[in-house]
Amino acid sequence: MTSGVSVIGAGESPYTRHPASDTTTERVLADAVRRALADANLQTSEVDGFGVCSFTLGPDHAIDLAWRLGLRLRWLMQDTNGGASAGTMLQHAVRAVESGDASVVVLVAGDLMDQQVHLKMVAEYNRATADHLVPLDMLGPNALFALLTQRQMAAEGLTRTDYGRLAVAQRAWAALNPGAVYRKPMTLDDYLNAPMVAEPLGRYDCVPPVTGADAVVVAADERAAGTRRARVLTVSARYNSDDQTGDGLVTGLADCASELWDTAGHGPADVDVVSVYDDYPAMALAQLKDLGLVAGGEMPAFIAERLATRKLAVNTSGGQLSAGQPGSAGGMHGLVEIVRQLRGQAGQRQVDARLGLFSGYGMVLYRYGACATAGLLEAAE
Amino acid sequence: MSVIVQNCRTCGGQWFPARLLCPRCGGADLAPRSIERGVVEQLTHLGDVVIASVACDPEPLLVARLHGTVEAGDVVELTDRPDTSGRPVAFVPPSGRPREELS
Ligand SMILES: [Zn+2]
Repeated sequence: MTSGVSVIGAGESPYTRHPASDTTTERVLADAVRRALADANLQTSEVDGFGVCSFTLGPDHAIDLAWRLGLRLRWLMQDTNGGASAGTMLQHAVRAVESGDASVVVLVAGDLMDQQVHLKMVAEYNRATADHLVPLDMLGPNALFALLTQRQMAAEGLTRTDYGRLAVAQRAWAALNPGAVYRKPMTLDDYLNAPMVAEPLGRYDCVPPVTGADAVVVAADERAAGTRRARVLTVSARYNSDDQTGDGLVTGLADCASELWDTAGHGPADVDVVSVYDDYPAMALAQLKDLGLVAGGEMPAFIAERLATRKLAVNTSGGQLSAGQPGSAGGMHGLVEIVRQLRGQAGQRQVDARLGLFSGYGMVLYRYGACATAGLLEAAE
Repeated sequence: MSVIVQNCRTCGGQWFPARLLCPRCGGADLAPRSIERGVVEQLTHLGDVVIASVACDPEPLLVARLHGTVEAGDVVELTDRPDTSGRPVAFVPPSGRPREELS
C-alpha cells in the first residue's frame, strides 16, 4: 500500500463553440492528454494506466485511443457516466494506484460537440429518451430541468433573481479564465432579460455546448515527492439512488456526504474552493445542499452573501455555464479547476486554497440525473 | 384513453418507463396496467410545446406533453397516442418495442 495518491498534473484542450472542420474527438482527447502529461512533467512511456469517458469516441474504444496515443498499459477503463465521470474514474484510479495495479494513470474526458453531433446525442441519449421523451417534441433536457427548477423554487423560496446572481457570479469568475468561452461581463438585467428557453429557464441557465477535453494525471505520492500536487483524500459515488421516483431536488450526493466528510476528517466549513456540476443553476445549488455547504431554506441568503461575494469560492473557472460544456468533459472540468487551484496554477482567479471539493452529476434516465460523484483533495508538497 | 404502466404483482408498485425487475421488491412479475388520469404537477413551454410532470395515484410520475387548456394542479386524462382533437389530454409516448415485452 502506498501512503497516498495525488493528482500531479491537469490539462484542458481549449474549449471552442465552433471547432475547425478537421477536428476529431480523438485529437481533442489527445491534446488534453498531452497537456496534462506536460503539466506533470511526464512522458507517455511512463503511463501504465488509462481511463476515458467520451460520448463521441465510437466506434473506437478506450484501447483504440490508447493505441493511437502509444500507451502500453497495465490498467485500462472506459467510463460512460458523462457529468459524473471525473469521480467515477478517479475513484477507480486511486484504488488501482493504491493496490499497485498501476503507477501513473491518465484520465481524460471530452467530445467533439458541434450542433449536429449535439442534436444526435440528445436524441439518442438512451432508450427511455428515444421512446418516451423525443416523441414529445422535446429535444434535450431543458424542459425536464425547468420542471425541476420550479420544484426547487417552491421548496427553497428561490426566485429567478437568485439563480441569476449565481450565473452572474460565475461569469465574473470566467472573465478571469482565458479558457472560458463566455468572458464578457454579465449583469443581472442581462440574465433576467435573456430569451426564455423553458420557464423559468432562460438562455443563461443553459450551458453552451462546446468542443473540448480535460485530463488529469494520477500517481502515488512517493513518485510525486517534491512537486506541488493535489492529494486525493476521498472519492464517493452513488448511482441510481432513488429509481427516478423523487422530485430530483436531492441527488445521490446526499448519501455520499457523511462518508465523504468522515473519511477526509474535514467538514463543509473547511473547504476553500468548490467545483459543483452546473448543468443548470438549480443542480449546482442542489449539490451544494447535499454536500452540506448550504442548509435547506437558506439558499437565497447563501447565494447573495457567500457565493456572489466569493466568501465561498464556487466554480472559479466560470463553470460550464460560462466556460462551456464539452460533452462528457463537463464531468472532468470541475476536477481540473480544483487541481489547478490547489497547485497554485489558477492565474488571475487563484484563491488561497488548501482543501478543494468537486462534484459531478449526470446521466438523465427519464426525469433527472442518476449519477453523482464527489471528491475532496488537499494541497500537498 | 389511457397509458400503460407496469404493475408489480408482488408488491403493487407501479413503474414507468418499463423496468426489468421491480425496483421495490426485486420481483419479475410485472404486468401491464392502464392508468387513465393524473395530476399536473408543473408545466413549462418549449415554444408551442407544453411539457409537464404528471403524478399518478399513488405512482408513477410521468413526463407528458399537454394538449388543450390545462393548468398546474388540474386532473388530466392520459393518452399514449398523439392527440390533436383539442381536448385537454396529457400525451405519454409508449415504449417503441412490442407491448408484450412490458409484461
Ligand atoms: Zn415489486
